[in-house]
Amino acid sequence: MHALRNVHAALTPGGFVVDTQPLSPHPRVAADSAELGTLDMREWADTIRAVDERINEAVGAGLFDMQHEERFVVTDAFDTGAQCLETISNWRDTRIPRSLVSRLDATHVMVTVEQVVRLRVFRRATRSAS
Amino acid sequence: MQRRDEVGVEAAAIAALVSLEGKRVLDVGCGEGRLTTFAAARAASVYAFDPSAENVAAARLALTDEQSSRVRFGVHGAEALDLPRERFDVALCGWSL
Repeated sequence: MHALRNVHAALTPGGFVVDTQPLSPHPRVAADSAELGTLDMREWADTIRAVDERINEAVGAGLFDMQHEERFVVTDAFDTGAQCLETISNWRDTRIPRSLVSRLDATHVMVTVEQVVRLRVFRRATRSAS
Repeated sequence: MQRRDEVGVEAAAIAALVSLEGKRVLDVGCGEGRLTTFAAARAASVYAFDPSAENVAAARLALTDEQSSRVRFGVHGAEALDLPRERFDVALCGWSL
């Protein structure tokens, strides 16, 4: 909540917050359009729920009004399975099933990861953060 | 090599809703610059920050010289954001809040 109050204070009255978050608990990993498996991002989903609670508090406190919400799929691409593995191993709250690790290690063509992303736009209310 | 959202779905969706042209933009938790280059190409000025110095270095490297002139970076979290009040028109929180 403190972070959102700081963002609120930094914005001009009527200014916008654009918030994008990946939501998929099981993003699809594929090569040559064939699915290699899915990531386990259920812990990330818990993080998003906590973030949403803080945002809801900020909206409830009259700091922001939600203007818009939509969802779309964002695709990240990697030259090889090994490169994909190296990157996603560092993603927060993300587990990679052992079977997927093996398939990625053995994949030497382009790999894609598809994530459903939620986009929300909030307008800063005119009242000051207390 | 990783290519994040190569076709620009996320940037296009944002651009369709909120204009950054000539605006003062706050890039909250900029990471490796997922949205920093998008903002720098349109905004009058950008302040981008992230708690990771490594991420900020990567975000800085992703900018052209021309874009760099409009972007300032900070290494800190949103809780430590300490800026003059009512300075920014748009806050981008790309996978960061």
